[in-house]
Amino acid sequence: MQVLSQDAVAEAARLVALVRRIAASADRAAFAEVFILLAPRVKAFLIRLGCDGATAEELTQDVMLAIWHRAGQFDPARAAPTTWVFTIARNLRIDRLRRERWVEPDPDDPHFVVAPVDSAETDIEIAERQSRLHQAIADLPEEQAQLIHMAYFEDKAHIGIAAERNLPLGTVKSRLRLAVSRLKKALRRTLPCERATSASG
Amino acid sequence: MSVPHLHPDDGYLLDYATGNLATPFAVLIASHLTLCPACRNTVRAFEGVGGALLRTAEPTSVAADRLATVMQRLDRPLTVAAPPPPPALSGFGHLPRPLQRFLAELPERPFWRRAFFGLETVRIPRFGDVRSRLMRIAPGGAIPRHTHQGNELLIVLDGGYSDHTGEYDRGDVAYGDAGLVHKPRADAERGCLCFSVWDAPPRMVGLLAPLLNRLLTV
Repeated sequence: MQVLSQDAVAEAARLVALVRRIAASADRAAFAEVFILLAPRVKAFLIRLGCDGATAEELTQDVMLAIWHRAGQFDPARAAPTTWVFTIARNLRIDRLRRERWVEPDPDDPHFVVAPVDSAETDIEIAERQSRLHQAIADLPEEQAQLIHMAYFEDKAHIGIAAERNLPLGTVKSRLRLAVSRLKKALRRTLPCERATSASG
Repeated sequence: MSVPHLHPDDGYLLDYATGNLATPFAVLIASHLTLCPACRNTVRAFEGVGGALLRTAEPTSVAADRLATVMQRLDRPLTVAAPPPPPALSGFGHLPRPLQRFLAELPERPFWRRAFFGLETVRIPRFGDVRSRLMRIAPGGAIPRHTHQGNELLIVLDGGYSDHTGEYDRGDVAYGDAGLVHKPRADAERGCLCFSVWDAPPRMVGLLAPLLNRLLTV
């Protein structure tokens, strides 16, 4: 097993702190730092998704502005900072390029079924969990990694991937299932459930 | 409240998380996610993968003056291309919100119409190749034997139904394609309210097929 990258953990913790400063006090210096850290990667990500340079540049600007305006909605217990930024970029891309709105469940919906509440995690635990996920992605067997890669970077639905690769749909689905179970395992919290139980009992 | 026990497969959840689902399919998945914490977790894992891929992307240089431009715009309100979500539609308040919003945004106000044999439907315009509709089957009612073309997803929103493949209750997602020939029967007490999305029309098989196919076509 590889050691978790300390850089990744430190960077995630730094980003959490910066976004919190933007949310708490509209801190422009914190925003400039987030921009310098993330804008070049957001742009690279959008180009890999098939955007031309000019569109990627423009969308990157929109993503950064959205980070500024929505910093208060960022919940580090729910998502790592780069995951939050990924969802902003995904939604803006749909909004701008397809002129559609991202469709998502609404936690205020009376039909919304709430999961059992987790106890709070520290920023370091959150960053480490993200780091485990990175490792799990890096460790995926080639055939599963390829599939994940096509889904994210070639803008293809899984049925299209099966057709293009000339694979039976069932094979694509079972590879995905394997990939998902590995990734979920990485995301599962190594948290002190026992501690929580004994404290309440 | 009970949680669904039949889930969309990971392929659909991945397509949802990467933004690769046509709107009606995304509405169905988001309706399931409203009711299913387990699948919300899977979507979160896929979003985490997106975040990890973004984090490790090889940086591309951004225009030198971009940061200055963005800093100047921080005080302006955010512009979005898509309009804000519409208010809920009366008469459909018992549906999960993603579906309510979808119906409220249709060019024409949706309404229930009678199809046949205790089956009512709400017709929804096509989105490209993707069709969808709401269905309400009377308690104990059965849909004649039919099969499916293309890929169909269905979510049960109230009551339930059963066929030879099993029982489907609120929140459960069923999958149909040309390999499925079935005769679903609605719950004897509550009937069945469901939303289905497919990329080709379902086909009836049997004597009345031509007529039934015409009735079922949106």
